[in-house]
Amino acid sequence: MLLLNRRASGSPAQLYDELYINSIGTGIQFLLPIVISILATILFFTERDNDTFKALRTVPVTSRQLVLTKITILFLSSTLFALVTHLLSMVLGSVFFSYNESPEYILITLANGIFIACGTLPLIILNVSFSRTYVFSILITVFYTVLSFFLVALSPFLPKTVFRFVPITSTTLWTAGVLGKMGKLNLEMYEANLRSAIPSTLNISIYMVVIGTVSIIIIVKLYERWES
Amino acid sequence: MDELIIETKGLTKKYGEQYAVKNVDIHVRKNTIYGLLGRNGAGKTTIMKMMLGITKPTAGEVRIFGKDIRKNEKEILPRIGNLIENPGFYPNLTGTENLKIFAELRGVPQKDAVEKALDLVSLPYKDKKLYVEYSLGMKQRLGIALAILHDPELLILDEPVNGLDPIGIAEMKKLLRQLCDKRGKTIVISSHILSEIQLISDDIGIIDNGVLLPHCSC
Repeated sequence: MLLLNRRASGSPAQLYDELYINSIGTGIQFLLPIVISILATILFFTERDNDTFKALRTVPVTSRQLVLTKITILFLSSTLFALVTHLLSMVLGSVFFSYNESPEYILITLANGIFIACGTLPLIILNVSFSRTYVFSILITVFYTVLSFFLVALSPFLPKTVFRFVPITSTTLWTAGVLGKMGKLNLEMYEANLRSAIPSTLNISIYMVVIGTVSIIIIVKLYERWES
Repeated sequence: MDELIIETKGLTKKYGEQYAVKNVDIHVRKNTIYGLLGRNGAGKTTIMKMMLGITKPTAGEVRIFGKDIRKNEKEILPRIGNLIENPGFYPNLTGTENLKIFAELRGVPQKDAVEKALDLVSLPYKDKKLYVEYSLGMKQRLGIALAILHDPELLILDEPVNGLDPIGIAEMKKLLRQLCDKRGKTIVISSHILSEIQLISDDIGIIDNGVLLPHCSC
């Protein structure tokens, strides 16, 4: 776990940074996929479970409109969750340590909220295609998130393309790269293979747009087939 | 000749090799109540779903207000109110909240539309009871309130008196008759009980194993 295994030591300003970095690692990159997956399952299955879809369908609301609205809510919720986590870290860091907020922090937080939402969409494809239960969605997301973090630990044995194509791992590496450039994280402590896999902001943005777009198209198609 | 609001031509639905509905021609005249009578599983609900475009026919077509429903959904569906099988609402909201969502989605301009619809089916407005706590009869009434919420010209109601007590059934029959006679609505209702259909309908279509038997006017 790239951003998590860090000792809390140093000046109050450094401790503020440590708290922020840990809030990104634990609060957003680890917890957010699970929260999004639970929310997505509730959102996507609510019409099926309550037989509401036919009433919506005759309004008429199309499957595409319904799916796009749900995905918009997922992205808004993801961003909101990330912002609340950031706010909490700011408040606690200021109270217990010393306020040391960098202007880039809020941008890193927002980007993490959006990237993690994009990175979780492939799981929603699985949920929608298998029409499984809430337990299935939660289990598969926990497995996916834990696996994403395990990949980092296995970095000496894996080709770097693996890190670039697993969305959560890729987001973790990008965050580490940005924090490293800001001098908030010492990247030298990480294995060379891992350092060379850090994506640029442009690369990860393009990758997330592609993942998000392809996933949304597949979810819409699956949902249309599922509802018919 | 009376103006036809619904006209189906050779309407057919097959699931695998099994016919759910076979070659059905229905003609529903304007400002009348058309009763679709048949046993459970005869194909009534499938016909109604095809009328609403929810289910795609294997063959044939449905023309509503003179237009093919599948090609003109956006234009036709807002002019129809429906209740198909069990009413589907969000269980964690009250009846009023559920109706308000649909009023917003349908773009109903009248602010008191929800209150009026609930009043017509004898349900309280701004009641704090959640939908999940409703009795079967209350759920059915709310489903009918949703169907009439946007003051549609055509109502397609699948077993609308299901779950209602005898007084509720009498009230609902009276309401449907009033909607037809005084407010000019055209109504299609289905039931498996002959007496329910006979007393309220102007025309009756009998469905048996997916096939429509010859029409009769009451």
